[in-house]
Order: sequence, then C-alpha cells, then structure tokens
Amino acid sequence: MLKLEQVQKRRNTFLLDNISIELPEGYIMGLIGENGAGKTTLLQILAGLLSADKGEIRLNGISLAEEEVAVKQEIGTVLHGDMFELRDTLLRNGNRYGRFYRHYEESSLKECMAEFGLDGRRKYGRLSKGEKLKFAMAFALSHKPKLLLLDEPAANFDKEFRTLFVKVLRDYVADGENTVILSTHLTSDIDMLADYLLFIKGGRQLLYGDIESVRERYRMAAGEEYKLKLLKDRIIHMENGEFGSRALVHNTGKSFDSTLKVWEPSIEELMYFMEKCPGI
Amino acid sequence: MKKKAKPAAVSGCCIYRQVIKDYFLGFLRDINPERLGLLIAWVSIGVMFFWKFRTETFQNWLIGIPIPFAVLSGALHNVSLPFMMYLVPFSKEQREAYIQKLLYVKVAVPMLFAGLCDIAAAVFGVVSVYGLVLQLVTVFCVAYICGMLWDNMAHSTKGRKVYGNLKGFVQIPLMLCTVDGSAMFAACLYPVSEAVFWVMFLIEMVIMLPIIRGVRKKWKIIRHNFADYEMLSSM
Repeated sequence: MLKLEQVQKRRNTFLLDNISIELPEGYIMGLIGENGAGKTTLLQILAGLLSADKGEIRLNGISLAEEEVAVKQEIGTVLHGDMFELRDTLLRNGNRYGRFYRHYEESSLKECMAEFGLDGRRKYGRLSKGEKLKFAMAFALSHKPKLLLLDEPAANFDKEFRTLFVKVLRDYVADGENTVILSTHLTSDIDMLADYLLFIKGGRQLLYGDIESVRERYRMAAGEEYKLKLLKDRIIHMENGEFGSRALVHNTGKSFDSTLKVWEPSIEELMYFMEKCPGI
Repeated sequence: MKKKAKPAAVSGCCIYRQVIKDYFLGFLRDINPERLGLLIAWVSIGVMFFWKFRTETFQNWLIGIPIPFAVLSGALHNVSLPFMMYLVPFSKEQREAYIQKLLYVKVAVPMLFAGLCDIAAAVFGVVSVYGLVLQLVTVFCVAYICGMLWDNMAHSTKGRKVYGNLKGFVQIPLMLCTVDGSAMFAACLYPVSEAVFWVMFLIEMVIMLPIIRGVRKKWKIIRHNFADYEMLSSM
C-alpha cells in the first residue's frame, strides 16, 4: 500500500499542500489536474527526486524519507525529457542503470522492448519523444517495481500503442501486488484505466477516492436556471447555456426537482466544473 | 516488514567499473557550445604550438601532450551526475561518494596516461627527469582542479550557486590553472634543465597550491550540492 500523509512541498512560490492518500496494491490511480497543478511535483517527490517538506510517504510500510534506497528499489518511473544517455544504445542504457536494481533482468528488458517495437541496438538520442517514453516504460517494467509512476505518457503514444499500453498496465496490476500512478490530463485514460482518482488544483487535493465513490459524491443537473439556483449551497459550479443551465452539485442524498435532468458526472465533467469553480 | 536494500550490483569494485565507464562516456556526453568552443580553442592552441615546436623530438612531445589531456579530462566531464543517477536506488550520500570516486578517476586517468607517455618517451630516447617531474606535478594539479570545478553549469547562475555562491570562484582558478598548464606544456616540450625546472616548479607551486587549498575547502559543499537533484533543479 502507498500511503501519503499530509505531504507538503514548497517550490519557490508554488505550494503542494496536504496531500493525503491511501492507495492499496493492485490498483491504478489517475492523477489529474491542470498544467501547474502539482502533478509532476508530486510524482518527483514519490520518485525520490524531491523531498517533502512535511508529511510522510510510506510504500508497503517503509518510509521513503528513512529508507530511501529500499523504497526506490520498488519504484519504476517514467518521466518526460531525456532520462537516459543520449549517445548510448537502449540495451546498454538499460544494463547501465539496471544494475542498481535488485530485480532487474536484461531478458525482461529485451522482452519489453520487443513488445514495444524497440530495437535495443538503437541509440537513445535517436528515438522520438514517444519512443523515449516507451523505452522508459520498458526499463521501468524490467526491474519489476511495486509502484509505477507515469507522468503523462499516453499523450505521446500512437493509437496502436495506446491499446497495448492499456493492456500492459492492466496485466501489471493484475496480480494484485503492484500499483500504478498515472498522471494525465486526458480523461479518456482515466475512464479506460483508473480505479482511483486524485484530483489536484493549485497544489491542493480536491478529490481522492475510488472512482465510483468519487462520482457518487456528485451529480450533474441540467434544466432551467431558477430551478437549479434553488439547490443553493449544493451547487459547486453552474454554467448557463442557450438551451438551459448545467451544474455540478453535491449529492447529499436529497431528491432533485423532477423537471431537472440529473445524472452521475463523468470524470471529464467533474474536472471541468471543479476547475471552473473559483472557490475551490 | 522492513527491508534493508543495498544495490549489490553497484558496490565495491563494481562501482568503480561504473564510474570508469561513466568517465569515458563523459567525453561524448552533452556536446554543447561551451564544450565545442573549448575543444576548438585547444586545437587552435595545439596547432600553434605544434608549428612552433615542430622540430622538437617525438619523446618531448610525448611528455607535453598529457598536460592538455588533463585539462580536457576535467573540462569534458561534469561534476553533476546523469539524470538517471538521481532516480536509481542511490542515497544522497552514495551519490556524493560516486562524485568523489569520479574525481579520483578524473585525476587517475590523466596520471596513468602521463605515465604511459613517459614510458614510451623513455623507450624512444633519453628524457629529462626534471621534465617528467614537472609534467606529472602539472598533470595532477590541472586534473584535480579542473575535475572539481569544471561543470557545464559553471558559467550559469545555477553553477555559481552550486559552487558556493561565489561569483568568479570558478572562472578565475580555472583560467589560472589553464594558463599555468599551457606554460608547463610549452616548458615540457623542451628538454628541461635543472634551472628551468626549479623556476617552473616554483611558479607552479605559487599558482596551483593556493587554488588547490581554496577549492578543497569548498569541495565538500560543491559535492554535496551536486549530489542533490532538488538543489540542482530548484535554481
């Protein structure tokens, strides 16, 4: 289980504040939020690149701050940018850094690369952005981590690979021992993959929980503006359109006016209305 | 359950193997305008020297060449580590130790190269012992100073902060060290007499020793800062 307790991090003027989650093994968590919300900062903290100013991070009971090396052994990370040696081949890069991991196997890397259509003899610097992410993913999987951190990888994958990507992640968590944190701004990824959701806005945690329970907490309501306004403080954000109004509201269990159309919000709707609400 | 994990594959002599690989790969890593400029400057100086000293014997050249190699050895390597080294299961202390080992290699390889050149020079003909001493002392000093101070970031604000917030702390010693190295290179291309040796040796000590002393004082902070990804990425 991955446990974050009131994790706080200040970087210049940005503050990532009070992030607390408990993510059981065997699940994929979608980390969503607009650009600059703090998704990458949180992933960098989890990857051990940055240290939290306050709070605690534990992976399977082991504290990242106290046992950095032991926890990092269990973490695979896929970040943007040039992670590996540009002038070295993929296989040499893999072996070079793989030796730091106890469970790294060259054969496993070769298998992953073959599955992802990568030639181990190619130089890392000659790969496209998407291929670099594929290699980072292959390397991360090759050392068999318990926690896989992915920073918006899917946006750079072609359609064909996206299908494979979904399958690979599903297989990876299937044994119930591994966990994935997938940072993304594509709600389609969340719909396809995520079991849990962490929504960050301006460095603050807005929502956390399994997707069903998160969606259950809210409702979308559409209808005439004055009828929606009667919902008063249940309204999170309301938008008026040409053919009526739509609002994201808290689901308190109370019934809605029968003339209103009410439905469970999609992740996209949740994100959109939450982002629009200035008070949150 | 608490697990105490040690990356077994990268401990002991294996870590040195990794450091040595890193050193040789470093010659090709991050070719940027600063590095290209440096290489062009050195090649130009080398051509001028070669023309001036073209009549010198091969063994004298063998004694001179390790000095510019020592500068390049420091200049073409970063003190900071490749990105993945901050991501793999390595603690900050282990990264510091890695940087320290890399410094040893940055000094050891030019010294070894100088030793091999000296043996080859002796095979080709009679060499001046004074020239050899001058060469080895210069190679050590130059490789040591450049190895500690020369990073691609040295001329940026970020670099200055890493190097202890001292404006000019990096550039001035490096410039002095390079000029001194060039002078010693020229001296080593001649068969060095005893008188020349003592004059050059004195100049060497007057320039290099205070620099080494100053840089050594700051080295712990420099190494500590370069081992910390957060420090590097926040500036």
